[in-house]
Amino acid sequence: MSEQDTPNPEPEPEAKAEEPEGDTDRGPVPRRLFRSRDDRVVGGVAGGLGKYFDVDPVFFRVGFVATAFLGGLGVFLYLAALLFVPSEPPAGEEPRRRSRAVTIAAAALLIVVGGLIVSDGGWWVGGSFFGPLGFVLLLGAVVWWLVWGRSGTGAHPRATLARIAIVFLILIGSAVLLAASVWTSAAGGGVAVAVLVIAIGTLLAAAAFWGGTRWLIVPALAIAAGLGVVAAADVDLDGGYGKRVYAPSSPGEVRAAYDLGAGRLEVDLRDVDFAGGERRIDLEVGLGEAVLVVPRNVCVVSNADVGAGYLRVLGWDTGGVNVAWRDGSAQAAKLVVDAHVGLGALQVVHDPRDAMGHEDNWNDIEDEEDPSLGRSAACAA
Amino acid sequence: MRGLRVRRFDSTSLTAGLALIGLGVLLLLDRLETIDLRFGYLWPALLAAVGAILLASGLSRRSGGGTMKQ
Amino acid sequence: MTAGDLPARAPALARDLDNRVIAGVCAGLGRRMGVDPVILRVAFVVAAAAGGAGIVLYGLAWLLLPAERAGRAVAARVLPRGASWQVAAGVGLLALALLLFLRELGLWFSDALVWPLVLAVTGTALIWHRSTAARQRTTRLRGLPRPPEPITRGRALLGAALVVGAALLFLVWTDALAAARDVVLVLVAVVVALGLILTPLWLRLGRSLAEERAARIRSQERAELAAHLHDSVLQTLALVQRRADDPRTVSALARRQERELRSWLSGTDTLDAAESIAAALQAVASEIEDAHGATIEVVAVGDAPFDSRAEAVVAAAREALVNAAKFAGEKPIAVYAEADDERIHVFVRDRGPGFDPDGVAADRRGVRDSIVGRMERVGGRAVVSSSRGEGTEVELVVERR
Repeated sequence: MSEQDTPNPEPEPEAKAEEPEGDTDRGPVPRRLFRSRDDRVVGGVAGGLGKYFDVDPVFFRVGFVATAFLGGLGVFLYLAALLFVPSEPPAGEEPRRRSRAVTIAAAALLIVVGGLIVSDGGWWVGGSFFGPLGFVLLLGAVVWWLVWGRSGTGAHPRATLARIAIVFLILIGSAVLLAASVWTSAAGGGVAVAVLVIAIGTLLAAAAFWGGTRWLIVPALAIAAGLGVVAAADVDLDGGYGKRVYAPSSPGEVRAAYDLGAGRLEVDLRDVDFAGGERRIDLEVGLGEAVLVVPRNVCVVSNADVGAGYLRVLGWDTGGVNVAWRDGSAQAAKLVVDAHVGLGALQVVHDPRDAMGHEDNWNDIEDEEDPSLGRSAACAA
Repeated sequence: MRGLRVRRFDSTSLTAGLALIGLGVLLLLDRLETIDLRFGYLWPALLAAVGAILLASGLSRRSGGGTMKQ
Repeated sequence: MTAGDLPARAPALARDLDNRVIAGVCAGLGRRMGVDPVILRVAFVVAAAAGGAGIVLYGLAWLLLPAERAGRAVAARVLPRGASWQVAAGVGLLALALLLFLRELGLWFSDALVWPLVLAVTGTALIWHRSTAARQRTTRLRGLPRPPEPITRGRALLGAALVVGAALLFLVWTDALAAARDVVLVLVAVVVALGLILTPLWLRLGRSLAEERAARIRSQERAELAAHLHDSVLQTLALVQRRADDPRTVSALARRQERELRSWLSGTDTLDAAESIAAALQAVASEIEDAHGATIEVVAVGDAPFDSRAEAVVAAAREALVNAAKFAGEKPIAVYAEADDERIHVFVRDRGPGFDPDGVAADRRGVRDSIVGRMERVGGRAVVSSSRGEGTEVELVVERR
């Protein structure tokens, strides 16, 4: 569907299987997509897509329905297709041309409506799917260019569909490899993963002389990146796996160090009376989350850092890599906390509900107005 | 179909392969406790890579850039 | 699927302005990917609704993809091209990366040192690189070096400005200037005063230096001209006087000197016969002139580098010239050559008695075969046309693509 308001000397592409000639060095003008007249369940979108790519329309129907559960993405896609893709003209007729202005207006409307729904939280049910959507598309484009940068598609749109599928597979495979690499490296297999990266690199370099295997590049980078993050964040998985919850009720039960390799570590010190001298506590989680709940009437001084992830100390929070909170003032400290999380989240809070990720997390706004962010109120004395 | 499959030398694969080998060696050294990789090295490494690419491209064009505007 | 596949000639990755809705991004991409652009439009719209990613990506594509006919993307047109900028930018980035890296290692340089250092290094690279490039260019030309072009001067100024700016920045950031402000004011006043007084003297001095330099150059040129004339023309005239009784030799001497002087005046004598077809033809013509006492005029239009096809053409032309020189008599032989990237076209024409092409016996075809055969071996052709009393013309053509 090409929107033109000036007559184009090029021949109009027909809705048939012939490949019309266009500007030769720009490639032929691609076939037009139409909504099918015959195969019309709702609006003929799936039918039209099936005919265009020469694939059974049921695949597209399943796709629309499946992605509809991803925060309504499928519905939005279908709606957009209804608006943009013209209906198949009766045999022999020229397809009706739509003006550019109408197309742009429709696009703007869709974007605004969609954007409103997103910001309203409606689409965040599918949640993390949409956030990095732009990044995924960009990465997909990079993979496409890497693998097929120099070769043309050939005649049939189905080849393009196949390529999209391949790019998708490569991306998913890379994501899986990334997770596997992080897990393996954190568990102590970093050396093996590094050797694997070197091996793949050698393979790629050697294969370059026989035409090259470019599709290996992104998955190999994913493996290297997983190991790289673990190496840079110094993730240490000593200390076991799983979820550990500690709630000591007296100073005697409080350990000097709480360690966890991977998982979730919760230490709740609210029932402990820190009347005695200064106590030091070490907290370490290699991969995962640590939540330390401290009583309000005790002066708590925290030195916390996260290799990569989220850090929250008594209302002050941040995220990123190499984030740290260092408390210089050690006067009158009753409880000194040294906490480190390699990859994940570390939170020092007064109430478990303050922690991000808690089901009843309700305290965000209130905490931001807390004047003594990051410092225990009891230390002001 | 497309015809003869011509095996041409692919420099992108070679560069990527060499880069991966280098990266793998660095990671290995980190895991063997010889060096310590930190996130702080990431920015300088990226800048250096971009700088090296620019430098190489600029130097290779020194002898008469042809239609390039100077 | 590997990149080694022989590509079906990939259509250019560019925006399609003829079929555009907004900026032709989807139309251009659709054409490259072989799908209806509407599919891409739907994708962009969905991505735009999801946090605006689609808008950002569209903008990126608009910046990075060239419009169809223009050939250069907006980003490429805005950023300065040219080797010097890239070298300077590369060096600057490397310096910055090195300093940041050292900072990570614990050698902390204050900001006041890092940024001025980077600027200074970049400026220096800009200045130096320009000068090596300019120096290379000037040694190729014959005679006087050309004055530096305004563009390179601008770049040198920018480089100098970067270095000076770096120094100033350093001084400002290390507060070294605060204490010295009073001294600086005094200095400035003194300099301005001296400047006002001395400027006209300065200008006069500069002008006289320039004149002196110009005069020196002129005398240098004159000396060069005199030396050349002495070596060549005077010698030839002396020789001519001594051999005045041998008209053949005199004519040959005069011819040679004329050729040499002509090419010296036009500056083409520095062209290497191994690198240019025109020079090669000229060299061949001179050789045959000397050997057979003929007169050959070479006119060359355009030029092209000397590859194996060119070699064959020149060799075939040589054969044709030898032939013409042997049989053509007194009238001058004309060689007309046209060479460009597409083809090489050479005519060798003489006004001799000519011959009847069909009358040449089969066993005497050796000469023609050495011309025609040579051309055909490199995929070109040779046409020998002649008729009695009209002279002979040999046409040599070879396509280079």
